[in-house]
Amino acid sequence: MDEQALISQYLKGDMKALEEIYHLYKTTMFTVACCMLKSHEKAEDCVHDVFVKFTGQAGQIKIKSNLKSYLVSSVANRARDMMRKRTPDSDASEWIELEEASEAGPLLKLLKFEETQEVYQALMHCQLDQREVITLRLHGGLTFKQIAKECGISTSTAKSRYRYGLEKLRNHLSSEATS
Amino acid sequence: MKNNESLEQQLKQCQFETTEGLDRKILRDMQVEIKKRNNDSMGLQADPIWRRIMNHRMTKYATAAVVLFIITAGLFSRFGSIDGASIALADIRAAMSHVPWMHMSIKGIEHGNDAVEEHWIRFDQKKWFTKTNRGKVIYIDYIDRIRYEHDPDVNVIEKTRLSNKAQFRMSTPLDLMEEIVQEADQKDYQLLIEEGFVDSKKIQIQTLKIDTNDDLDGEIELVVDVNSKLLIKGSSRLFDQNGNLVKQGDVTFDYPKQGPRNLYDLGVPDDAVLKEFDSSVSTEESKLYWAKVVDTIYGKHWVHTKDTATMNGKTYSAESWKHIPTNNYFYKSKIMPDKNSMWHLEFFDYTHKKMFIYNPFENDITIQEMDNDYSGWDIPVDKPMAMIKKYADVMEEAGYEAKIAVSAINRENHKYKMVEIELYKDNQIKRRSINYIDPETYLVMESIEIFFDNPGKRGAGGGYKITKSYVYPDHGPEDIYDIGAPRDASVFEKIEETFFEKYYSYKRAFKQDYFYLIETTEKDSNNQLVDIQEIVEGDDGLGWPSLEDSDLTLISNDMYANNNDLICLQCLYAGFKNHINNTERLPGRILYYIDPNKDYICVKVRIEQNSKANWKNKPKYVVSVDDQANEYGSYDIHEVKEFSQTKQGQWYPKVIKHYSTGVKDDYKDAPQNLMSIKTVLLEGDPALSK
Repeated sequence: MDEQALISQYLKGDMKALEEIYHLYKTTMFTVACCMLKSHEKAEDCVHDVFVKFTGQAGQIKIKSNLKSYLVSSVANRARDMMRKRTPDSDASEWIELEEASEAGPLLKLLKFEETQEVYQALMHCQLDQREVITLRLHGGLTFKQIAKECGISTSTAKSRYRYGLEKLRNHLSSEATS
Repeated sequence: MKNNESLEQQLKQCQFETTEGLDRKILRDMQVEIKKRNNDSMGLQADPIWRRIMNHRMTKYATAAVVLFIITAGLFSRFGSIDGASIALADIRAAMSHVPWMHMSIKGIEHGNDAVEEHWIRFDQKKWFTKTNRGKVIYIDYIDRIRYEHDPDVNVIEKTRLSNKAQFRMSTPLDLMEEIVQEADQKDYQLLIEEGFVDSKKIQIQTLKIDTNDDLDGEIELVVDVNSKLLIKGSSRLFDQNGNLVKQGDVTFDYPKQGPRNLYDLGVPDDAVLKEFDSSVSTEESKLYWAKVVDTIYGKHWVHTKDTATMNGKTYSAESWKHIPTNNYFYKSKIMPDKNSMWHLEFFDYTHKKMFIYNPFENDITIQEMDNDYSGWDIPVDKPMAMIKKYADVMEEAGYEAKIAVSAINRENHKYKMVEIELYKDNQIKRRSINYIDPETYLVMESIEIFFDNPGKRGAGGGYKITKSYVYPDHGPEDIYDIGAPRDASVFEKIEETFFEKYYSYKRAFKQDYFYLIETTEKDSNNQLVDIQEIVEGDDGLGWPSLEDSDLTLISNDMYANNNDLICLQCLYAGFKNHINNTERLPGRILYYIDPNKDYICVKVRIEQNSKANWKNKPKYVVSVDDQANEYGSYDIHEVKEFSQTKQGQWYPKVIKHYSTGVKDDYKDAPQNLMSIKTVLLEGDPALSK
């Protein structure tokens, strides 16, 4: 089923179309949520909320751009909401994670790099606004213009956040360079 | 260094897959939502308990044990003997109380991984031995109310008194069980009884099927010896809605005449250090003792540590120096043990808010601004104390609990005070820090830090152990060269993030539609109207050239920039030979001079090309040119000679001149010839009408 047909069926509340949409975009959305929220648990909640809401809105919404952009934007919005409504637990969890990463110095960081995907770990060192632009661009496939609109910033700011985020990433990864 | 393109590719490939469990939950909830939308009132509720069983770390490796404990501890007793033909729990309990020892071997299987945990229980003497899959050995004597636990990571046996709450019964973990039992009342059960023979013993198989009303179904099977009423085997299985086995745990029971006498019978080394908490030392006293240790360290000038860690058979080495008064911090680590003698070096200069990072593979030093909120890495003793003091409230609210205890131990013929700090969440230990302290000087001499289950949910489990030794010298390194950075390493300074924000902000404000560009070239003295876009986007033009190249670095010691209050940025590029048309681009560098006082206009660009450029000591910059040829190259300079402002006050370049030596052998001394003059005019300028 092509995207237009999917949207059309979705608007009629067809569960098969919804399933297909879910399987088509779940990885992209989950990746964006993970990168923004730095937590798999929260990312699961985020993607869950977006899809359930998306389902409930069948027949009531208009999708202006393509479906992927719409869903990626929705997940980014939801992730931002979740970060604004942080519970004390999430604050502390984040703090604890940061503490754990920093407490034993770079040696622990290096050990972690050994076991996890180094790029993802490095991405987690970027500030939220940089992570957001990078993941929306690379995983979500949004244009800088779309990202700028989504984040309420200028296109040039989106570009510079992207560039500076990559700069930071490279800096963190340099300690892992193997040759 | 990774270039942008490959980094972007790596990032794109770094994707996260949803789990099957999440897929099921979302699709189910979407279905519910669709039904709601269609005014169908039938909705399915999630089952948090079974989900917790699935996800709970405690049950990860021993689901079977937990479920069986539930059964033996209470679930069956709620129903009594469900069927007159079944062997009741009371019978099983009575039979078990007469055996000398019960040995349970628990095997959990999840995602193809096996984990084994063993228990030896003596009912009449109320003794319980456990050997966990991590090699930890626990012995609890419920009569003497003492608990011994040997941690193989640190080879320490911890002896503690049992709390009054701890009772001898097969009912752990209590909290989870209570919830499950409560949930269980609301579920549907189906008990199947079968009889048969195994090794000529008559057995009864009791199978309890639990329909969770969720997408998971549970099945618990007990095999009981009909004659002896003893449990032989038990297993628990969880199935998804398609009947696929998701998780399984098996327990086998046997009843030996002899059990372990002590911890050593279960493999604890003879030289394990016995640590006994002094019950006279309260937690408050422990905190005060630790505070004194921290204060003592803060009275020193330098702390020098040597760190080692082992993982996957590799040993990681590191060394650090911290200057206590300034917090300045030096760090060197062998980042890849397989590549000998490659030390990665870092220096965090808090005094000047700069970080120096030496990359041995590139032989370069990167200097970058330190973020304002950058706390860096403190000496290890800081954080546990800070956690206890400063973050206690936050942690408590979040369910974290820090424990601190002081004890006296003998270790390798030295008397130490040992301060142990542990961080817990959900009764799971997250981190343990053991500090050996000289009782006379109050200085930490050694420490062992264990991080459990790092790197969190994504990791493969397990943890890290880092051992450190400490000395407290009066002097330490002064710069990154003092810890081994080569003097000939290239130095690059990163550009502040705010620079690009401002730069692009002003560039965006430049309304191209109102400007016109007139160019006079060396060959053609007539004015030509050319594209103003060149001013805004030109790579080597003036105004606001594109600064997309991520290899830009800040040159803080450029004399021209410093004398004229400008920002100097450098971009290096490699040589390139096009074998199709036999042309070549010489390796070179571009220096951009940006004026922060004139709306970040680029006021000068200097381009140097050199056939033998070796800017970064990297062969790839010259690999494509003939290194046997004479050195040749060129200088090109574009410079704003006059400035002007719009009515709104924005600066723009008015007159731009381009000079060049042309490509030649003696370009370094060659005169720079004027190549072109560009004049930027505002709309309505009288010159335009001519």
